[in-house]
Amino acid sequence: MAFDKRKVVRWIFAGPVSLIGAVLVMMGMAVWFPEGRAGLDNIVIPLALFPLLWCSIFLYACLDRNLPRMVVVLIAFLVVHAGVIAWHMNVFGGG
Amino acid sequence: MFSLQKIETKKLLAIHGWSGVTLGLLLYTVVLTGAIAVFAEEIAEWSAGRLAQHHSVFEFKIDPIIRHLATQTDPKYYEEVGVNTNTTGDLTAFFHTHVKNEDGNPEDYGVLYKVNPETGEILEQHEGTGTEVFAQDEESALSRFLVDMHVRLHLPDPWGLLLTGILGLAMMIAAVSGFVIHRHLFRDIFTLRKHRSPLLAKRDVHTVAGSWGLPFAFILAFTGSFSASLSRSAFP
Repeated sequence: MAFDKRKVVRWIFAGPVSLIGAVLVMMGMAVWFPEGRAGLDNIVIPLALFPLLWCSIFLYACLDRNLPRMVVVLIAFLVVHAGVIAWHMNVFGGG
Repeated sequence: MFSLQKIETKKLLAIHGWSGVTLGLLLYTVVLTGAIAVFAEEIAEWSAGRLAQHHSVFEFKIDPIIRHLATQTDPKYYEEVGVNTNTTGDLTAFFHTHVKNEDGNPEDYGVLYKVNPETGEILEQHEGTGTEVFAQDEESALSRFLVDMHVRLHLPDPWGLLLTGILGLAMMIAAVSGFVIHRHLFRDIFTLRKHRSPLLAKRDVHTVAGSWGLPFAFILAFTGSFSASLSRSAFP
């Protein structure tokens, strides 16, 4: 059986990357999502949305016909959220 | 429903099939025990072999009983005492302190007494962590078995919850992909071609059962994946 690189990339993005991505987006949303009147929305809504986030990323990784676009979109999505978390935790210093 | 191209429909069909085939049996176990575990309290009462007695702690004179038990208890467990009644009407008193277990998580540690509330006679006495001493309550063993099977498939922490979380996510993928690939949802939920080929008849049964149960499947998958996968990782 021929080794299909494209399939491996898709497996990686639909598997571990989608799970890590859902966790990162959930954490990052806590920073940019509106807090609401009780100051809880930014915590509760990302938590409740976690399964849907994972499901959406998984299906997108499986279904986008354009593989490079899927890779770029998901990496950009993850990097932005990782950056938001790092900024919030003052990882870059100077805050 | 959705106008998908052939290649997307094919991919979604593969995802729908594989998510069911690989984890379906475990998922079936979790869902079945979950449906039974809804009645865990009633099952505990039934399996106790006696008529259930619902008493409030305050119906008994608990002060002399607790004072008497305290005299027999190591003072290091005086930090907190939890008093309750169980399904068979006995009184339970758990004198305990708070310690950290091997994983560094806080846990109660102390002595659990099971007492006849009328006479004050000690029926049983166990020392250990809260999990250990309450696990020795034989009268709720069956209901605990079912609930533990449903929640973590009897696997140790954190693997059991992780697995049931992944099962929930797989079920959601199956539900969402199953919904999306329907070409005609309303026609499909009323189509049962019994007299056609056996394969087609089975496929119709699957489609009808799956379509009618779709909202329930989605809610089961959503709440299951949410509570199992996040209860150990995301909640403080």
